[in-house]
Amino acid sequence: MIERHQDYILQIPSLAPGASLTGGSGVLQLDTDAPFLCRGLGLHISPPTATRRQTDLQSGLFRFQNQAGAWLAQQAIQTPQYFGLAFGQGGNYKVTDPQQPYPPGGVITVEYTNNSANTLTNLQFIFRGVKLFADGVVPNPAYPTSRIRTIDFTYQSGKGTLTDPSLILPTTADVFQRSFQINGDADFVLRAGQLGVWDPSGGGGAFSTFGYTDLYIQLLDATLKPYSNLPIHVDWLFGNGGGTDVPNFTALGNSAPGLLVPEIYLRKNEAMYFNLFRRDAPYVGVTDALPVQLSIAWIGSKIYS
Amino acid sequence: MNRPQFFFPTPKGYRDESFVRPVISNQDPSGGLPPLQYKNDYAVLMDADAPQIIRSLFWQGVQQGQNPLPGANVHIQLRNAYGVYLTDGYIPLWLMFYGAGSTFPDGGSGRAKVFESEMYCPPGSVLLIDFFNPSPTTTFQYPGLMEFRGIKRFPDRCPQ
Repeated sequence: MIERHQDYILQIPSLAPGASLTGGSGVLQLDTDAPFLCRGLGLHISPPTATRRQTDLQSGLFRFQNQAGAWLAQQAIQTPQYFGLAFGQGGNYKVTDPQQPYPPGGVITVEYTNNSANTLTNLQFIFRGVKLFADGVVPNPAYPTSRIRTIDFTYQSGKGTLTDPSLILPTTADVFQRSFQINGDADFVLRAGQLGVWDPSGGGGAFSTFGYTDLYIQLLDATLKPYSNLPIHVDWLFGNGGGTDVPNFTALGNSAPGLLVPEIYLRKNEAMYFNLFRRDAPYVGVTDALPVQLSIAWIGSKIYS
Repeated sequence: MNRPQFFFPTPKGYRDESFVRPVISNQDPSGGLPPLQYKNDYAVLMDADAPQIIRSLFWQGVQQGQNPLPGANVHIQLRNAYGVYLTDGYIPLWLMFYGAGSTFPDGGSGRAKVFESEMYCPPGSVLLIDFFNPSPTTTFQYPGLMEFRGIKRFPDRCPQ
């Protein structure tokens, strides 16, 4: 069997204070190509402009159903108690143990009540786990069977070279199918990622020193098959690299690099791709309207055979 | 495709002793790294008595009492003891190290960037580090406090 990293995201555009997702309003339809094994849960909102924080998620009630439609909690549980501090920032997800299997084309039903004083915008329920494929159904490059040598290695996107242009995103921006190319000297196994600004001092006023607030990413493999059904916030996939020297900066997410489990194996000269979506126009009143220059560190090992 | 990571048993016939190679404050050059400048081939000399196997690198940026130059905002390029590059160009060190738990200017969680696989350094070898200051306006101090953490590997025999 082949396990392949997968994030499923149920996105609710708006949920008013005191409102609940019940009945059929909180149903995530899964893909039909493979079963899904859910191993972690996360929550995310587009944060209020005043705070740029996720604190409204601390006032909620949550539970979800297994594949048979049975609730996995007798009643909806307060989110701080259910998730602890693991809302998904930095890949730090609430662990689902034992894993919850769902069939191809199945559904995940959630119940959520917004007990905060604010309307939740773009409320995302993130189900992290793996898709399970039979051998040969999807490409599955793996370690050579011959003797190998490995070294720690970190690739980078956004270096500003001819083959890897700078990643500069205005407050509202879409970047599609940007490639992440493996060198020809060795295979690479991707185990974690980290994303942050290129220059925390803002490049002499050219770029925002506030960093980003609402920035989403979608990873795609060499065949452009995505690793998530919707873009996921970069701090929920990668972890936030910090990187600002502005006093009173509002930190986003925690600072642990997000781990990709299982790891993603890439052959030499192979590429994978990513899309980026920045949605920071609502925040220019509290930050600035400058673009951000980003760098992505792809952390793993080179595999020499 | 998956295997346990960070799992490095000691070979038979050897014993490992915990070892840290710090880069201490008096190795910081005065004046810092000017805007948009490079400083390459910063040498970290390893001990000569035994092989050192480095498993993580902790970076604090600025050391206590090391003001006024900020020390956090440089990019770095790493090589192993054989000159093989471990990074794809100059990587912002907040993507390499702060994400692993270090923070600036002081403190930090004590966690570190893990090397997978571990990095073998022969006795007396040198690790070379390159620095780049991406800011067009600000001078930064470097390298700050670094700690190469790992083990020394000795033959497992009685002292002579």
